[in-house]
Amino acid sequence: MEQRIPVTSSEDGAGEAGRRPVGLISFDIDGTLTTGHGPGPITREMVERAKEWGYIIGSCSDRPVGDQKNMWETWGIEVSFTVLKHMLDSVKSRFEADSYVHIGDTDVDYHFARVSGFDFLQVQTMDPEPWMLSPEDGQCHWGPEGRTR
Amino acid sequence: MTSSAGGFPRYAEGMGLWEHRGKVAVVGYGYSEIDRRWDGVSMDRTLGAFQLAAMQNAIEDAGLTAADIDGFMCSEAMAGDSWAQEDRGDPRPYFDPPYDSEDGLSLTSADWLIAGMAREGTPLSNLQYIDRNQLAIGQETGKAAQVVGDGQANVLLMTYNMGNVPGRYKLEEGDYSEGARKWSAPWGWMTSAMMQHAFVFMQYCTKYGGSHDDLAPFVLNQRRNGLLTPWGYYAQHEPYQITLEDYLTQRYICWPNGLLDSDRPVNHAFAMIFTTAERAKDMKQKPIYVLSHVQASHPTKSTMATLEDHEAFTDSLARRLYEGAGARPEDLDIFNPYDGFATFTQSYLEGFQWHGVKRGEAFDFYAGDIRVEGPHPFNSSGGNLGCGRTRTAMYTDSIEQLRGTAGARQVTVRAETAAMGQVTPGGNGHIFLSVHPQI
Repeated sequence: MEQRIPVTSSEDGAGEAGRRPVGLISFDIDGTLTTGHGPGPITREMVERAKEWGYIIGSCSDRPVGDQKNMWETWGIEVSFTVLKHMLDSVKSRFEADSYVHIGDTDVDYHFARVSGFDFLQVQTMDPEPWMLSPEDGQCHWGPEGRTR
Repeated sequence: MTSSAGGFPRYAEGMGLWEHRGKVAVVGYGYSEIDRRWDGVSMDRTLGAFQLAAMQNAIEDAGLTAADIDGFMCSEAMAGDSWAQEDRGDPRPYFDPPYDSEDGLSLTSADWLIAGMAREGTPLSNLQYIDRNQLAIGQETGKAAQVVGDGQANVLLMTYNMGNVPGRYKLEEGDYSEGARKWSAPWGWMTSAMMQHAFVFMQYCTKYGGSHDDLAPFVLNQRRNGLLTPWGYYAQHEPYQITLEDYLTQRYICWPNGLLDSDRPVNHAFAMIFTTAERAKDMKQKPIYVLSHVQASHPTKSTMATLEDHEAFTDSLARRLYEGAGARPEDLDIFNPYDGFATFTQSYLEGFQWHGVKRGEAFDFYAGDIRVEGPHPFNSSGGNLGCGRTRTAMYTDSIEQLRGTAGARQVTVRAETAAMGQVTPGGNGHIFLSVHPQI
Protein backbone atom coordinates (compact mmCIF):
# COMPACT_ATOMS: atom_id res chain seq x y z
CA MET A 1 0.00 0.00 0.00
CA GLU A 2 1.22 3.46 -0.85
CA GLN A 3 2.36 5.47 2.14
CA ARG A 4 0.44 8.62 2.90
CA ILE A 5 2.56 11.71 2.50
CA PRO A 6 2.24 13.92 5.59
CA VAL A 7 1.87 17.64 5.72
CA THR A 8 5.29 19.19 5.35
CA SER A 9 4.55 22.86 5.14
CA SER A 10 5.26 24.48 8.47
CA GLU A 11 6.45 27.90 9.41
CA ASP A 12 9.46 26.79 11.38
CA GLY A 13 9.15 23.08 11.85
CA ALA A 14 7.58 23.70 15.22
CA GLY A 15 5.14 20.87 14.90
CA GLU A 16 1.38 20.50 14.66
CA ALA A 17 0.47 23.40 16.89
CA GLY A 18 2.53 25.90 14.94
CA ARG A 19 2.03 24.69 11.44
CA ARG A 20 0.24 26.55 8.73
CA PRO A 21 -2.84 24.82 7.29
CA VAL A 22 -2.07 23.10 4.04
CA GLY A 23 -4.52 22.81 1.19
CA LEU A 24 -4.53 20.47 -1.75
CA ILE A 25 -5.84 21.63 -5.10
CA SER A 26 -6.67 19.28 -7.93
CA PHE A 27 -7.05 20.88 -11.34
CA ASP A 28 -9.09 19.51 -14.18
CA ILE A 29 -7.44 20.45 -17.49
CA ASP A 30 -9.78 20.75 -20.48
CA GLY A 31 -12.12 23.66 -19.94
CA THR A 32 -10.36 24.57 -16.70
CA LEU A 33 -6.74 25.48 -17.43
CA THR A 34 -5.79 27.78 -20.28
CA THR A 35 -3.80 24.93 -21.79
CA GLY A 36 -6.95 22.80 -22.14
CA HIS A 37 -9.02 21.90 -25.19
CA GLY A 38 -10.93 24.12 -25.05
CA PRO A 39 -9.02 26.59 -23.02
CA GLY A 40 -10.24 27.30 -19.52
CA PRO A 41 -9.77 30.48 -17.48
CA ILE A 42 -7.10 29.40 -14.96
CA THR A 43 -3.68 30.57 -16.04
CA ARG A 44 -0.24 29.18 -15.51
CA GLU A 45 0.59 32.14 -13.28
CA MET A 46 -2.31 31.34 -10.96
CA VAL A 47 -1.28 27.71 -10.64
CA GLU A 48 2.32 28.66 -10.03
CA ARG A 49 1.24 31.11 -7.34
CA ALA A 50 -0.87 28.44 -5.62
CA LYS A 51 2.19 26.25 -5.44
CA GLU A 52 4.34 29.09 -4.14
CA TRP A 53 1.78 29.68 -1.42
CA GLY A 54 2.25 26.11 -0.26
CA TYR A 55 -0.68 24.30 -1.80
CA ILE A 56 -0.17 20.73 -2.87
CA ILE A 57 -1.16 20.84 -6.50
CA GLY A 58 -1.72 18.42 -9.35
CA SER A 59 -4.12 17.46 -12.10
CA CYS A 60 -7.07 15.12 -12.31
CA SER A 61 -8.32 14.73 -15.85
CA ASP A 62 -9.66 12.28 -18.39
CA ARG A 63 -6.48 12.87 -20.33
CA PRO A 64 -4.03 9.98 -20.12
CA VAL A 65 -1.53 10.41 -17.31
CA GLY A 66 1.36 10.65 -19.76
CA ASP A 67 -0.28 13.59 -21.49
CA GLN A 68 -0.97 15.30 -18.17
CA LYS A 69 2.70 14.97 -17.26
CA ASN A 70 3.72 16.36 -20.62
CA MET A 71 1.44 19.32 -20.10
CA TRP A 72 2.97 20.17 -16.72
CA GLU A 73 6.44 19.75 -18.16
CA THR A 74 5.55 22.17 -20.93
CA TRP A 75 4.32 24.63 -18.32
CA GLY A 76 7.48 24.11 -16.30
CA ILE A 77 5.62 23.35 -13.08
CA GLU A 78 6.46 20.35 -10.95
CA VAL A 79 3.28 18.91 -9.50
CA SER A 80 2.64 16.36 -6.80
CA PHE A 81 0.14 14.19 -8.62
CA THR A 82 -1.37 13.45 -12.03
CA VAL A 83 -4.34 11.11 -11.94
CA LEU A 84 -7.24 10.03 -14.09
CA LYS A 85 -10.54 11.61 -13.20
CA HIS A 86 -12.06 8.50 -11.71
CA MET A 87 -9.00 8.01 -9.51
CA LEU A 88 -9.24 11.26 -7.58
CA ASP A 89 -9.84 9.35 -4.38
CA SER A 90 -6.29 8.01 -4.60
CA VAL A 91 -5.01 11.56 -4.14
CA LYS A 92 -6.77 11.91 -0.85
CA SER A 93 -5.35 8.66 0.37
CA ARG A 94 -1.83 9.67 -0.69
CA PHE A 95 -1.67 13.21 0.66
CA GLU A 96 -2.55 14.48 4.10
CA ALA A 97 -3.94 18.00 3.95
CA ASP A 98 -6.36 20.23 5.76
CA SER A 99 -8.53 20.84 2.74
CA TYR A 100 -9.08 19.09 -0.55
CA VAL A 101 -10.49 20.98 -3.51
CA HIS A 102 -11.07 19.90 -7.09
CA ILE A 103 -11.58 22.66 -9.65
CA GLY A 104 -13.28 21.69 -12.87
CA ASP A 105 -15.89 22.67 -15.42
CA THR A 106 -18.29 19.77 -15.78
CA ASP A 107 -20.73 17.74 -13.77
CA VAL A 108 -18.33 14.82 -14.15
CA ASP A 109 -15.81 16.87 -12.18
CA TYR A 110 -18.50 17.58 -9.62
CA HIS A 111 -19.39 13.90 -9.37
CA PHE A 112 -15.87 12.63 -8.80
CA ALA A 113 -15.05 15.45 -6.40
CA ARG A 114 -18.03 14.56 -4.28
CA VAL A 115 -17.48 10.82 -4.25
CA SER A 116 -13.80 11.35 -3.46
CA GLY A 117 -14.41 13.63 -0.50
CA PHE A 118 -13.24 16.81 -2.21
CA ASP A 119 -14.88 20.19 -2.20
CA PHE A 120 -15.78 21.21 -5.73
CA LEU A 121 -15.33 24.60 -7.32
CA GLN A 122 -16.89 25.09 -10.72
CA VAL A 123 -14.50 27.22 -12.66
CA GLN A 124 -17.18 29.10 -14.56
CA THR A 125 -18.91 30.36 -11.44
CA MET A 126 -16.45 30.22 -8.53
CA ASP A 127 -15.34 33.31 -6.65
CA PRO A 128 -11.63 33.91 -7.18
CA GLU A 129 -9.45 32.31 -4.56
CA PRO A 130 -6.75 34.51 -2.99
CA TRP A 131 -4.00 32.73 -4.94
CA MET A 132 -5.76 33.68 -8.16
CA LEU A 133 -5.31 37.39 -7.52
CA SER A 134 -2.47 39.26 -9.12
CA PRO A 135 0.08 40.59 -6.61
CA GLU A 136 0.39 43.69 -8.77
CA ASP A 137 -3.17 44.94 -8.72
CA GLY A 138 -5.04 42.48 -6.53
CA GLN A 139 -7.33 41.56 -9.43
CA CYS A 140 -8.15 38.17 -10.87
CA HIS A 141 -6.99 38.01 -14.48
CA TRP A 142 -8.71 35.03 -16.05
CA GLY A 143 -7.22 33.52 -19.20
CA PRO A 144 -7.89 35.13 -22.59
CA GLU A 145 -10.91 32.94 -23.31
CA GLY A 146 -12.61 34.08 -20.11
CA ARG A 147 -15.18 31.96 -18.28
CA THR A 148 -17.92 31.80 -20.88
CA ARG A 149 -17.70 28.10 -21.78
CA MET B 1 -36.52 20.33 -57.72
CA THR B 2 -36.96 16.76 -56.67
CA SER B 3 -35.21 14.94 -53.86
CA SER B 4 -36.48 11.42 -54.34
CA ALA B 5 -34.35 8.57 -55.66
CA GLY B 6 -36.19 5.66 -57.22
CA GLY B 7 -33.75 2.93 -56.27
CA PHE B 8 -33.15 4.21 -52.76
CA PRO B 9 -33.06 2.89 -50.13
CA ARG B 10 -31.79 -0.58 -50.95
CA TYR B 11 -33.09 -2.62 -48.05
CA ALA B 12 -34.25 -5.85 -49.65
CA GLU B 13 -32.50 -9.18 -49.93
CA GLY B 14 -31.93 -10.69 -53.36
CA MET B 15 -31.70 -7.47 -55.36
CA GLY B 16 -28.80 -8.79 -57.40
CA LEU B 17 -26.27 -6.52 -59.02
CA TRP B 18 -26.80 -2.81 -58.46
CA GLU B 19 -28.31 -1.49 -61.67
CA HIS B 20 -25.76 1.34 -61.88
CA ARG B 21 -22.72 -0.72 -60.92
CA GLY B 22 -19.61 0.95 -62.30
CA LYS B 23 -21.62 3.74 -63.95
CA VAL B 24 -21.20 6.24 -61.13
CA ALA B 25 -17.88 7.51 -59.83
CA VAL B 26 -16.44 9.54 -56.99
CA VAL B 27 -14.26 12.24 -58.52
CA GLY B 28 -13.56 14.61 -55.67
CA TYR B 29 -13.59 15.04 -51.94
CA GLY B 30 -12.78 17.76 -49.48
CA TYR B 31 -12.74 18.37 -45.79
CA SER B 32 -12.47 21.23 -43.37
CA GLU B 33 -10.21 21.92 -40.47
CA ILE B 34 -11.22 20.34 -37.20
CA ASP B 35 -11.93 21.66 -33.72
CA ARG B 36 -13.31 20.15 -30.56
CA ARG B 37 -15.99 22.83 -30.51
CA TRP B 38 -16.62 26.18 -32.04
CA ASP B 39 -15.13 28.76 -29.71
CA GLY B 40 -18.10 31.09 -30.02
CA VAL B 41 -15.93 33.84 -31.42
CA SER B 42 -14.10 32.81 -34.59
CA MET B 43 -16.56 33.29 -37.42
CA ASP B 44 -14.19 31.56 -39.83
CA ARG B 45 -14.38 28.39 -37.73
CA THR B 46 -18.11 27.89 -37.36
CA LEU B 47 -19.70 24.65 -38.49
CA GLY B 48 -21.09 26.50 -41.51
CA ALA B 49 -17.75 28.06 -42.41
CA PHE B 50 -16.11 24.65 -42.14
CA GLN B 51 -18.71 23.10 -44.38
CA LEU B 52 -18.37 25.75 -47.07
CA ALA B 53 -14.62 25.16 -47.01
CA ALA B 54 -15.11 21.40 -47.36
CA MET B 55 -17.44 21.92 -50.32
CA GLN B 56 -15.03 24.27 -52.04
CA ASN B 57 -12.15 21.89 -51.40
CA ALA B 58 -14.09 19.02 -52.96
CA ILE B 59 -14.88 21.07 -56.05
CA GLU B 60 -11.23 22.04 -56.38
CA ASP B 61 -10.08 18.46 -55.85
CA ALA B 62 -12.33 17.36 -58.69
CA GLY B 63 -10.96 20.06 -60.98
CA LEU B 64 -14.43 21.58 -61.34
CA THR B 65 -16.01 24.95 -60.76
CA ALA B 66 -19.10 25.56 -58.66
CA ALA B 67 -21.03 26.17 -61.86
CA ASP B 68 -20.39 22.57 -62.92
CA ILE B 69 -22.41 21.25 -59.99
CA ASP B 70 -26.04 20.44 -60.85
CA GLY B 71 -26.95 18.34 -57.83
CA PHE B 72 -26.63 19.16 -54.15
CA MET B 73 -27.22 16.95 -51.14
CA CYS B 74 -26.77 17.69 -47.46
CA SER B 75 -28.09 16.59 -44.11
CA GLU B 76 -29.87 19.27 -42.13
CA ALA B 77 -29.83 17.28 -38.91
CA MET B 78 -28.87 19.18 -35.77
CA ALA B 79 -25.25 18.57 -34.95
CA GLY B 80 -24.29 17.09 -31.68
CA ASP B 81 -27.56 17.48 -29.93
CA SER B 82 -31.11 17.02 -31.07
CA TRP B 83 -32.35 19.29 -28.34
CA ALA B 84 -32.70 22.83 -29.61
CA GLN B 85 -30.40 25.36 -28.04
CA GLU B 86 -33.33 27.42 -26.84
CA ASP B 87 -34.66 24.47 -24.86
CA ARG B 88 -31.57 24.45 -22.71
CA GLY B 89 -32.83 27.58 -21.05
CA ASP B 90 -29.65 29.33 -22.02
CA PRO B 91 -30.01 30.51 -25.60
CA ARG B 92 -26.79 31.61 -27.12
CA PRO B 93 -26.38 35.15 -28.29
CA TYR B 94 -26.70 35.34 -32.03
CA PHE B 95 -24.80 37.49 -34.43
CA ASP B 96 -25.19 39.47 -37.58
CA PRO B 97 -26.38 37.52 -40.63
CA PRO B 98 -25.65 34.84 -41.70
CA TYR B 99 -25.30 33.78 -38.06
CA ASP B 100 -28.54 35.24 -36.76
CA SER B 101 -29.94 31.82 -35.87
CA GLU B 102 -28.71 28.28 -35.19
CA ASP B 103 -28.40 27.82 -38.96
CA GLY B 104 -24.68 27.83 -39.69
CA LEU B 105 -23.76 27.23 -36.07
CA SER B 106 -25.15 23.90 -34.86
CA LEU B 107 -26.83 22.86 -38.10
CA THR B 108 -26.51 23.79 -41.72
CA SER B 109 -29.53 23.92 -43.96
CA ALA B 110 -29.31 23.51 -47.70
CA ASP B 111 -30.48 27.09 -48.12
CA TRP B 112 -27.78 28.38 -45.77
CA LEU B 113 -25.05 26.45 -47.56
CA ILE B 114 -26.20 27.43 -51.03
CA ALA B 115 -26.41 31.08 -49.96
CA GLY B 116 -23.00 30.76 -48.36
CA MET B 117 -21.44 29.51 -51.56
CA ALA B 118 -22.90 32.50 -53.40
CA ARG B 119 -21.70 34.85 -50.67
CA GLU B 120 -18.19 33.51 -51.04
CA GLY B 121 -18.11 34.00 -54.77
CA THR B 122 -18.53 30.35 -55.68
CA PRO B 123 -22.26 30.20 -56.44
CA LEU B 124 -23.89 26.86 -57.16
CA SER B 125 -25.69 28.53 -60.00
CA ASN B 126 -26.80 25.52 -61.99
CA LEU B 127 -28.51 23.30 -59.44
CA GLN B 128 -31.25 21.09 -60.86
CA TYR B 129 -31.49 18.72 -57.90
CA ILE B 130 -31.45 19.68 -54.22
CA ASP B 131 -31.77 17.13 -51.45
CA ARG B 132 -31.94 18.38 -47.87
CA ASN B 133 -32.44 14.98 -46.26
CA GLN B 134 -31.78 14.15 -42.62
CA LEU B 135 -29.69 11.10 -43.36
CA ALA B 136 -26.37 10.20 -41.80
CA ILE B 137 -23.48 9.89 -44.20
CA GLY B 138 -23.70 6.11 -44.46
CA GLN B 139 -27.08 6.43 -46.12
CA GLU B 140 -26.33 9.76 -47.77
CA THR B 141 -23.47 8.44 -49.92
CA GLY B 142 -25.65 5.63 -51.21
CA LYS B 143 -28.42 8.03 -52.08
CA ALA B 144 -25.97 10.35 -53.83
CA ALA B 145 -24.74 7.48 -55.99
CA GLN B 146 -28.30 6.44 -56.75
CA VAL B 147 -29.34 9.96 -57.76
CA VAL B 148 -26.48 10.20 -60.25
CA GLY B 149 -27.11 6.68 -61.51
CA ASP B 150 -30.79 7.47 -62.00
CA GLY B 151 -29.85 10.54 -64.02
CA GLN B 152 -31.35 13.12 -61.69
CA ALA B 153 -28.03 14.89 -61.42
CA ASN B 154 -24.91 14.73 -63.52
CA VAL B 155 -22.41 16.19 -61.05
CA LEU B 156 -23.61 15.96 -57.47
CA LEU B 157 -21.98 17.65 -54.50
CA MET B 158 -22.77 15.75 -51.30
CA THR B 159 -21.79 17.21 -47.95
CA TYR B 160 -22.00 16.17 -44.33
CA ASN B 161 -20.96 17.63 -41.02
CA MET B 162 -20.58 16.55 -37.46
CA GLY B 163 -20.71 19.36 -34.94
CA ASN B 164 -20.29 19.64 -31.24
CA VAL B 165 -22.10 22.14 -29.11
CA PRO B 166 -21.13 23.12 -25.55
CA GLY B 167 -22.15 20.83 -22.74
CA ARG B 168 -22.27 17.09 -22.45
CA TYR B 169 -22.94 15.31 -25.70
CA LYS B 170 -26.42 14.09 -26.47
CA LEU B 171 -27.37 13.60 -22.86
CA GLU B 172 -30.17 16.06 -22.95
CA GLU B 173 -33.44 14.54 -23.90
CA GLY B 174 -35.34 17.73 -23.29
CA ASP B 175 -37.95 17.98 -20.59
CA TYR B 176 -39.68 14.80 -21.72
CA SER B 177 -38.78 11.62 -23.54
CA GLU B 178 -41.54 11.43 -26.08
CA GLY B 179 -43.14 8.43 -27.77
CA ALA B 180 -41.14 5.24 -27.84
CA ARG B 181 -38.19 7.05 -26.35
CA LYS B 182 -39.91 7.07 -23.00
CA TRP B 183 -38.94 3.42 -22.88
CA SER B 184 -35.58 3.52 -24.60
CA ALA B 185 -34.10 6.82 -23.51
CA PRO B 186 -35.62 8.09 -20.28
CA TRP B 187 -32.19 9.13 -19.04
CA GLY B 188 -30.95 10.49 -22.33
CA TRP B 189 -29.45 9.35 -25.56
CA MET B 190 -26.76 7.26 -23.95
CA THR B 191 -29.32 4.78 -22.71
CA SER B 192 -30.31 3.88 -26.21
CA ALA B 193 -26.87 4.15 -27.77
CA MET B 194 -24.03 3.33 -25.43
CA MET B 195 -25.93 1.01 -23.11
CA GLN B 196 -27.34 -0.83 -26.09
CA HIS B 197 -23.93 -1.61 -27.48
CA ALA B 198 -22.45 -2.41 -24.09
CA PHE B 199 -25.19 -4.98 -23.63
CA VAL B 200 -24.62 -6.62 -27.01
CA PHE B 201 -20.88 -6.60 -26.45
CA MET B 202 -21.32 -8.43 -23.15
CA GLN B 203 -23.39 -11.01 -24.97
CA TYR B 204 -20.58 -11.31 -27.51
CA CYS B 205 -17.98 -11.96 -24.81
CA THR B 206 -20.23 -14.49 -23.15
CA LYS B 207 -20.86 -16.37 -26.38
CA TYR B 208 -17.37 -16.34 -27.82
CA GLY B 209 -15.11 -15.71 -24.84
CA GLY B 210 -12.85 -12.77 -24.17
CA SER B 211 -13.41 -9.48 -22.45
CA HIS B 212 -13.33 -5.75 -22.89
CA ASP B 213 -9.53 -5.77 -22.64
CA ASP B 214 -9.36 -7.73 -25.90
CA LEU B 215 -10.41 -4.55 -27.68
CA ALA B 216 -7.18 -2.84 -26.66
CA PRO B 217 -5.11 -3.69 -29.77
CA PHE B 218 -7.91 -2.42 -32.00
CA VAL B 219 -8.43 0.84 -30.12
CA LEU B 220 -4.71 1.54 -29.87
CA ASN B 221 -4.32 0.89 -33.59
CA GLN B 222 -7.22 3.19 -34.37
CA ARG B 223 -5.44 5.99 -32.53
CA ARG B 224 -2.22 5.14 -34.33
CA ASN B 225 -3.94 5.32 -37.72
CA GLY B 226 -5.60 8.55 -36.65
CA LEU B 227 -2.25 10.07 -35.80
CA LEU B 228 -1.20 9.19 -39.35
CA THR B 229 -4.17 11.19 -40.67
CA PRO B 230 -2.82 14.73 -40.78
CA TRP B 231 -6.17 16.53 -40.59
CA GLY B 232 -7.59 14.35 -37.78
CA TYR B 233 -8.47 15.69 -34.36
CA TYR B 234 -5.76 13.86 -32.48
CA ALA B 235 -3.08 14.56 -35.08
CA GLN B 236 -4.00 18.23 -34.91
CA HIS B 237 -4.73 18.78 -31.24
CA GLU B 238 -3.53 15.91 -29.05
CA PRO B 239 -0.74 14.23 -30.98
CA TYR B 240 0.23 11.43 -28.68
CA GLN B 241 -0.30 7.70 -28.83
CA ILE B 242 -2.35 6.13 -26.07
CA THR B 243 -0.79 3.16 -24.32
CA LEU B 244 -2.06 -0.20 -23.20
CA GLU B 245 -1.96 1.07 -19.63
CA ASP B 246 -4.05 4.08 -20.65
CA TYR B 247 -6.58 1.72 -22.16
CA LEU B 248 -6.74 -0.66 -19.24
CA THR B 249 -7.12 2.14 -16.68
CA GLN B 250 -9.62 4.21 -18.63
CA ARG B 251 -12.77 5.55 -17.04
CA TYR B 252 -15.86 3.54 -17.84
CA ILE B 253 -18.82 5.48 -19.13
CA CYS B 254 -21.24 2.60 -19.29
CA TRP B 255 -19.41 -0.57 -18.41
CA PRO B 256 -17.84 -2.18 -20.34
CA ASN B 257 -17.83 0.86 -22.63
CA GLY B 258 -15.00 3.15 -21.62
CA LEU B 259 -13.92 6.64 -22.49
CA LEU B 260 -11.35 5.39 -25.01
CA ASP B 261 -13.93 3.10 -26.59
CA SER B 262 -16.06 6.12 -27.41
CA ASP B 263 -15.50 8.58 -30.21
CA ARG B 264 -14.81 12.19 -29.35
CA PRO B 265 -17.32 14.74 -30.66
CA VAL B 266 -15.76 17.41 -32.86
CA ASN B 267 -16.64 20.25 -35.23
CA HIS B 268 -15.84 19.18 -38.78
CA ALA B 269 -17.29 18.96 -42.28
CA PHE B 270 -16.76 16.89 -45.39
CA ALA B 271 -17.87 16.80 -49.02
CA MET B 272 -17.74 14.37 -51.93
CA ILE B 273 -18.49 14.73 -55.60
CA PHE B 274 -20.27 12.01 -57.58
CA THR B 275 -20.68 11.98 -61.33
CA THR B 276 -21.26 9.53 -64.11
CA ALA B 277 -18.50 7.14 -65.08
CA GLU B 278 -18.70 8.55 -68.57
CA ARG B 279 -17.97 12.09 -67.44
CA ALA B 280 -15.39 10.90 -64.91
CA LYS B 281 -13.18 9.46 -67.63
CA ASP B 282 -11.65 12.79 -68.57
CA MET B 283 -11.58 14.50 -65.21
CA LYS B 284 -8.71 15.60 -63.00
CA GLN B 285 -8.78 12.64 -60.65
CA LYS B 286 -8.69 8.95 -61.34
CA PRO B 287 -12.31 7.76 -61.13
CA ILE B 288 -13.28 5.73 -58.10
CA TYR B 289 -16.28 3.72 -59.26
CA VAL B 290 -19.29 2.97 -57.12
CA LEU B 291 -20.10 -0.72 -57.45
CA SER B 292 -22.88 -0.95 -54.92
CA HIS B 293 -24.66 0.63 -51.99
CA VAL B 294 -27.09 -0.76 -49.43
CA GLN B 295 -28.96 0.46 -46.40
CA ALA B 296 -30.46 -1.08 -43.29
CA SER B 297 -33.24 0.00 -40.98
CA HIS B 298 -34.25 -2.73 -38.59
CA PRO B 299 -36.82 -2.42 -35.85
CA THR B 300 -35.83 -4.25 -32.70
CA LYS B 301 -37.99 -6.63 -30.75
CA SER B 302 -37.60 -4.77 -27.50
CA THR B 303 -35.98 -1.66 -26.06
CA MET B 304 -32.64 -3.10 -27.06
CA ALA B 305 -31.35 -5.29 -29.83
CA THR B 306 -29.46 -8.47 -29.05
CA LEU B 307 -26.25 -10.02 -30.32
CA GLU B 308 -28.37 -12.31 -32.46
CA ASP B 309 -30.03 -9.26 -34.04
CA HIS B 310 -26.76 -7.48 -34.71
CA GLU B 311 -25.22 -10.53 -36.29
CA ALA B 312 -28.25 -11.05 -38.51
CA PHE B 313 -28.31 -7.35 -39.46
CA THR B 314 -24.64 -7.20 -40.40
CA ASP B 315 -24.75 -10.57 -42.19
CA SER B 316 -27.52 -9.16 -44.34
CA LEU B 317 -25.72 -5.87 -44.89
CA ALA B 318 -22.57 -7.59 -46.08
CA ARG B 319 -24.40 -10.15 -48.20
CA ARG B 320 -26.38 -7.45 -49.99
CA LEU B 321 -23.42 -5.13 -50.51
CA TYR B 322 -21.28 -7.90 -51.96
CA GLU B 323 -24.15 -9.08 -54.12
CA GLY B 324 -24.78 -5.60 -55.49
CA ALA B 325 -21.11 -5.19 -56.35
CA GLY B 326 -20.73 -8.68 -57.78
CA ALA B 327 -17.98 -9.22 -55.23
CA ARG B 328 -16.93 -11.73 -52.61
CA PRO B 329 -15.23 -11.13 -49.26
CA GLU B 330 -11.84 -11.88 -50.76
CA ASP B 331 -12.38 -9.07 -53.28
CA LEU B 332 -12.54 -6.41 -50.57
CA ASP B 333 -9.17 -4.74 -50.03
CA ILE B 334 -9.84 -1.72 -47.83
CA PHE B 335 -12.44 -1.99 -45.11
CA ASN B 336 -13.41 1.00 -43.00
CA PRO B 337 -16.48 0.10 -40.94
CA TYR B 338 -17.88 2.29 -38.21
CA ASP B 339 -16.29 2.56 -34.79
CA GLY B 340 -18.34 5.12 -32.92
CA PHE B 341 -18.07 2.69 -30.05
CA ALA B 342 -15.26 0.15 -30.23
CA THR B 343 -17.61 -2.44 -28.83
CA PHE B 344 -19.58 -2.96 -32.05
CA THR B 345 -17.02 -2.74 -34.85
CA GLN B 346 -16.37 -6.46 -34.74
CA SER B 347 -19.93 -7.10 -35.88
CA TYR B 348 -19.00 -5.59 -39.26
CA LEU B 349 -15.58 -7.21 -39.44
CA GLU B 350 -17.11 -10.63 -38.91
CA GLY B 351 -20.24 -9.97 -40.97
CA PHE B 352 -18.19 -8.94 -43.99
CA GLN B 353 -15.75 -11.80 -43.31
CA TRP B 354 -12.94 -9.42 -44.16
CA HIS B 355 -9.66 -11.30 -44.44
CA GLY B 356 -11.53 -14.47 -43.56
CA VAL B 357 -12.62 -13.38 -40.09
CA LYS B 358 -15.65 -15.36 -38.99
CA ARG B 359 -18.06 -14.88 -36.09
CA GLY B 360 -16.29 -14.90 -32.77
CA GLU B 361 -12.81 -14.44 -34.26
CA ALA B 362 -12.40 -10.66 -33.99
CA PHE B 363 -10.37 -10.65 -30.78
CA ASP B 364 -7.82 -13.07 -32.23
CA PHE B 365 -7.69 -10.94 -35.37
CA TYR B 366 -7.15 -7.76 -33.36
CA ALA B 367 -4.29 -9.44 -31.52
CA GLY B 368 -2.50 -10.01 -34.84
CA ASP B 369 -0.91 -7.44 -37.14
CA ILE B 370 -3.59 -4.93 -38.09
CA ARG B 371 -1.20 -2.03 -38.70
CA VAL B 372 -1.40 -0.28 -42.06
CA GLU B 373 2.05 -1.63 -42.87
CA GLY B 374 0.97 -5.17 -42.14
CA PRO B 375 -0.99 -7.88 -43.92
CA HIS B 376 -4.37 -7.00 -42.32
CA PRO B 377 -4.67 -3.19 -42.31
CA PHE B 378 -8.08 -3.07 -40.69
CA ASN B 379 -9.80 0.29 -40.60
CA SER B 380 -6.83 2.10 -42.10
CA SER B 381 -8.62 5.41 -41.62
CA GLY B 382 -8.36 5.32 -37.85
CA GLY B 383 -12.10 5.92 -37.94
CA ASN B 384 -13.84 8.07 -35.38
CA LEU B 385 -11.69 6.75 -32.56
CA GLY B 386 -8.54 7.90 -34.29
CA CYS B 387 -9.72 11.10 -35.97
CA GLY B 388 -12.61 12.33 -33.87
CA ARG B 389 -16.31 11.87 -34.40
CA THR B 390 -16.32 13.06 -38.00
CA ARG B 391 -17.91 9.93 -39.41
CA THR B 392 -16.01 10.78 -42.59
CA ALA B 393 -12.45 9.59 -42.04
CA MET B 394 -13.57 6.23 -43.42
CA TYR B 395 -14.42 7.93 -46.71
CA THR B 396 -11.36 10.13 -47.05
CA ASP B 397 -9.10 7.19 -46.26
CA SER B 398 -10.83 4.84 -48.67
CA ILE B 399 -10.57 7.34 -51.50
CA GLU B 400 -6.93 8.05 -50.68
CA GLN B 401 -6.04 4.36 -50.43
CA LEU B 402 -7.61 3.72 -53.83
CA ARG B 403 -5.91 6.76 -55.34
CA GLY B 404 -2.61 5.73 -53.72
CA THR B 405 -2.35 9.05 -51.90
CA ALA B 406 -2.79 7.92 -48.29
CA GLY B 407 0.78 8.85 -47.39
CA ALA B 408 1.97 7.26 -44.17
CA ARG B 409 -1.28 5.30 -43.99
CA GLN B 410 -0.95 3.80 -47.46
CA VAL B 411 -1.42 0.10 -47.10
CA THR B 412 1.10 -2.33 -48.50
CA VAL B 413 -1.49 -4.87 -49.59
CA ARG B 414 -3.63 -4.53 -52.72
CA ALA B 415 -5.82 -1.42 -52.64
CA GLU B 416 -8.26 -1.59 -55.54
CA THR B 417 -11.56 -1.89 -53.72
CA ALA B 418 -12.98 -0.43 -50.54
CA ALA B 419 -16.12 -0.64 -48.43
CA MET B 420 -17.14 1.76 -45.72
CA GLY B 421 -20.22 2.92 -43.91
CA GLN B 422 -22.14 3.54 -40.76
CA VAL B 423 -23.82 3.91 -38.36
CA THR B 424 -25.04 1.04 -36.17
CA PRO B 425 -25.95 -2.49 -37.22
CA GLY B 426 -29.63 -1.62 -36.95
CA GLY B 427 -29.52 1.60 -38.94
CA ASN B 428 -26.90 1.70 -41.59
CA GLY B 429 -25.62 2.50 -45.06
CA HIS B 430 -22.55 1.09 -46.78
CA ILE B 431 -20.99 1.76 -50.16
CA PHE B 432 -18.57 -0.31 -52.23
CA LEU B 433 -15.92 1.52 -54.25
CA SER B 434 -13.39 0.27 -56.79
CA VAL B 435 -10.74 1.58 -59.13
CA HIS B 436 -12.32 -0.68 -61.77
CA PRO B 437 -15.91 -0.37 -63.05
CA GLN B 438 -16.45 -3.99 -62.13
CA ILE B 439 -14.71 -6.73 -60.23
